[in-house]
Amino acid sequence: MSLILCRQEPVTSPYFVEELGVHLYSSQELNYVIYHHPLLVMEDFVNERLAAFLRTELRLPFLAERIQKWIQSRGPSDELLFLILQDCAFYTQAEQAAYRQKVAGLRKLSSHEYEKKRADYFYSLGLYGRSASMYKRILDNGEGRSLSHEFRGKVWNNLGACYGELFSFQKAMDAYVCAWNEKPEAAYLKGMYFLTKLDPELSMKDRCRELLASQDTEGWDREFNEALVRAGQTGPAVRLQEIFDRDPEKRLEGAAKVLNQWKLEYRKML
Amino acid sequence: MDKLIIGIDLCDAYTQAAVAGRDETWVIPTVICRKKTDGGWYVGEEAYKYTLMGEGVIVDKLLSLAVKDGTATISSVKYQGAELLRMYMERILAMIRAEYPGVPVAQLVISLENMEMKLMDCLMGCADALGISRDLVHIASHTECFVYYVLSQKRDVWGGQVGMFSLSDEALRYYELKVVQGPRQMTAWAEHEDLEEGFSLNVLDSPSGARMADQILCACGERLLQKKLYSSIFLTGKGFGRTDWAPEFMKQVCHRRRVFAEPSLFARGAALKAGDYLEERSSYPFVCLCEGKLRSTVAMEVMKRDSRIQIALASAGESWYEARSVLEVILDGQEEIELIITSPQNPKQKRLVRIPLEGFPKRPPKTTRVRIAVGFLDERTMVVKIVDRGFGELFPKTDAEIRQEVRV
Repeated sequence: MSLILCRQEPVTSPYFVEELGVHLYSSQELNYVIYHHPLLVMEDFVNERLAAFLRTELRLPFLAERIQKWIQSRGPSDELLFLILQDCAFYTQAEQAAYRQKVAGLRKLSSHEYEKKRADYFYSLGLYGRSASMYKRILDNGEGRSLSHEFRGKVWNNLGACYGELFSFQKAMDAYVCAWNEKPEAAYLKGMYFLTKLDPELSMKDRCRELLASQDTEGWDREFNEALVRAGQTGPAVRLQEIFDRDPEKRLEGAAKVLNQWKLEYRKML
Repeated sequence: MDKLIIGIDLCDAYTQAAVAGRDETWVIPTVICRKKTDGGWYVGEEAYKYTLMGEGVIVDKLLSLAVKDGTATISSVKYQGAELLRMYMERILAMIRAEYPGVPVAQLVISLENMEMKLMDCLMGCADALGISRDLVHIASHTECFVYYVLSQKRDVWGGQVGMFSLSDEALRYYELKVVQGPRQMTAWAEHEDLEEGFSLNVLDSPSGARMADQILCACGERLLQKKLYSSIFLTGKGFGRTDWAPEFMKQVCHRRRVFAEPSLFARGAALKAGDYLEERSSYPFVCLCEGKLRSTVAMEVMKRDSRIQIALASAGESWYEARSVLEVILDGQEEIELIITSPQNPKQKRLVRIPLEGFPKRPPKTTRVRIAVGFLDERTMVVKIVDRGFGELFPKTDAEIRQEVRV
């Protein structure tokens, strides 16, 4: 337990991290992003734009120069991430060592496993479009390779989840079917079943529908209905209800704001 | 002279002013008068003159009036005490500046008998109104000006204990100074005692009154000076403008001691302090612990590049009125702010004050930035304000805030 003394960093133009949708105003925030989002920063995060931010806004000219020289001579590297953490010393030596191990561990993964980890990470950030294209790339590139059926099934399943989040229910259904074809798993069936609930016009393939008989669909229904109730009582639904409880003029204004917000959120997902 | 370094001793009865490099001082009654005929404002003896001639209305005790938020009504117009004090200060400074045309004020130190926050704020407001930057204006206690004056003398004057009697219309005070050589630096300890035996200086006008006053001082001298070794004794205040009315007292204090009489000692001390602000390296390398100064150092333990260090928020010897600092830290699992209070008297003995961050949001370690600001209400009361600053857009700040008064 301790208190960490902050440097004076009068940042006027913050650094925007598009994937996270946040502006960074200090070296501590930059360190936090590097430390907690290795899968985001391990590819092309340290670049000329970041070096310029370090030099002009964070007043770290020596660090910026070292990064620039490294990029010019040797290209991007994980070492640059370690260099930033080391120079700012926001994280302790032990924490930095743990981070190095984590990054090294990720680098040891096979290319498709690493790619899947990144795609899963972007899914967790709500960047469904980006993770969907990454899952597709794994499946396309893995055609000739000996990816296990289990692994391919998982990737198809995750791709289905991405399409589901993007409201492309038919594509999601097709992805779940592919997942099932790779390796039959109850979870994939469940995904398909929920899709038919979300879009009643969708239908499961006969082969899959027959298999439903052996599953606990009553339990799934219960789960689905509980989720529906929960969604109606929290977050956007409540805010929407509040807007519609207002007088008509304010209602329209509020609705327009919400609509714009949803548009922005959807665009970010893509 | 290319810059004006001014020391002003501002009291309710008299104001004394000194300018660095000038032998003479000004002694002006602290009164202001508005002339009925032309509406002009006059101070000091002039104010008395117009009042006695029936041409003006006088207001006295300007400091008390300003402190009490009092008002004075002159020719059906109500004036605030602070406003009258500002006009008075404006005229005093104009009088000094008139002798040095075109020379800018480089430093101004105002010496006060009592360091009251309200009066100090009022005087800083006066500086603003007079267009003098606050950076150039400082307020010091009489005790501190006594220290500066004495320490500007040769070392053998203050090598041991130094005593001083201050006699004015308002009070009789005894001051004492001792300089202690510490392992790192010298510390000047000074304090004062208000003596109940104070008397009006009018009694000195009659021989019997003067005899009585002499006896009073002798009794005080006997009580305060006996069994102590002094390097020197100082006498100051309007009462000691001349000393022939107190032959017995003078005989007593001069016995095997050096005695100096300087009626404008506080104003001169203030001017010396003002001059020291302009020096690149202080001519007074002492920690001065006296009225108006902090008696303890307040610090915090923080991490800086993997090393644990102590950072001072306020240091002993700093003027409590001017002492303020702000710093930002990030909480790494810590749910309280711990202040370390140490006294130069006993640096090994530390007092810890813990301020729990109640009402602050729970966040993961290293994701809460807090701003800690400290200031002082008086030399014993520190105000600590802790504000949640969040962690950028990653963990947005909240309205969480703590304000706590800490006795130091």
